[in-house]
Amino acid sequence: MAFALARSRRDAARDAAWLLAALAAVALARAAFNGHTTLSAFAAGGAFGAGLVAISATMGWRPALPRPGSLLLGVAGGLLLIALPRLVHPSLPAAIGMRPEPLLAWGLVTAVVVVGEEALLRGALFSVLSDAAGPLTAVLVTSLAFALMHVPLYGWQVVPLDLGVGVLLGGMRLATGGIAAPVVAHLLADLSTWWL
Amino acid sequence: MPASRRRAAAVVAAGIVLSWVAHGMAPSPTAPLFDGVVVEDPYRYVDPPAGADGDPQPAQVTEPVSGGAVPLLAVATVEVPPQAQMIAQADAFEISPSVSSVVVSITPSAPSDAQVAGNIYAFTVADQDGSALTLVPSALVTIVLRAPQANLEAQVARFDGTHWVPLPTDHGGLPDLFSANVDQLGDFAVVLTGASASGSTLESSVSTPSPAPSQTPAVPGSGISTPPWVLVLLVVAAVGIGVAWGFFAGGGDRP
Repeated sequence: MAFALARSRRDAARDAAWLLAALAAVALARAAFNGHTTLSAFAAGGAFGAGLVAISATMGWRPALPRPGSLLLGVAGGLLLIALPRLVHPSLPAAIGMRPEPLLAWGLVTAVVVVGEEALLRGALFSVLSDAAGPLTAVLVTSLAFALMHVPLYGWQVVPLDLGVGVLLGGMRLATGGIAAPVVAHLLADLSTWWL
Repeated sequence: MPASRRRAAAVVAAGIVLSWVAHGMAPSPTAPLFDGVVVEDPYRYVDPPAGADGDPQPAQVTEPVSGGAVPLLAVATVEVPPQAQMIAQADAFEISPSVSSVVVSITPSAPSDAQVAGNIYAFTVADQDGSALTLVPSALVTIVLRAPQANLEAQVARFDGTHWVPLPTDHGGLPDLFSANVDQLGDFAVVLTGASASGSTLESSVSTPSPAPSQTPAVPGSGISTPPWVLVLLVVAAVGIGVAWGFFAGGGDRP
């Protein structure tokens, strides 16, 4: 993640507002088009992820080669996310959710969604918020946005858990300075739902 | 350790604690986070209204008893996501030494009360001879039911022979899944509460489940009623404003 020039706090705040508005619009559009078929859900998810990457790119976000330490932290974070529900409820399996076939296509679309969310939240938005108001504000706002962006599809009950996970992913972004660790953790947690 | 690393570590720790607390608020394990690609089949009714799907499937599973204890039971109907699930911890049922296997059955039926959203599901666990088993008092058994629509104001309820008795209910991982821990089996349904119950009360008398529903359930929806073209316009407008702002309002620091 690199910007050609340093920006003023006012510019950064303006960019953050624009990113949040774009995120809200794209999340609502995805919910509207998701539908009840695998094809429509995959198309809506893929467009959502690609759209978020494109929006991030317009703000100067660029992917960078991840460091091994970031990938390792991401794997550790992902395993922790997968383990947490089992640690809290050790005696019961999870309720069955969705297993949309085919697995490979689902995995690919899920990966696109994850990369898009992280590129915008922990990439572009995190950087401009850090410039505008500091890194802790960046963690709080991106975590809140992460929780709220899932409300149109999942309902309000997602907010406590996705807020907590958002803070965790924000901490990984703070620790590594890039999005590789949150991407890996986020992706592992999402993909694990097929088998849980 | 530099201050920035200490701060990052503190944020990660806070995230873990918040996630732990959020998981603890749910009656049973959920997904690691609510995210990913949502694909749900339409709800299937025993007696479908016009335009809705029918033919919901029952579920029946036989599990062997080993070491004198009933194993962990996790049984679900085959829809995606399942319309009815039962999850019982190991040793949750009282059995005699002669019991060699248990049969878990989940059977849908049509409701006869307008409070009920979707189908009624009968949950039974019996031994190999068909004798119903009772729950150990401290056993942890969770029922998960799907409603025909997302984000309903509703609860899982058990039919006690006269009334629908609402149970403490949480969401089961998706906006149309409702879960509750139960202390006995029987007939369960998602029952509307609040404004969506159309003035009826949860404790009002209802008839026993019958194949002749008096209600006309709504056709399943996504919970989002905004016309798609409005949202397309919103996206286009937001992107346009952002691009214009970036290019014409001193945003020359972006590539």
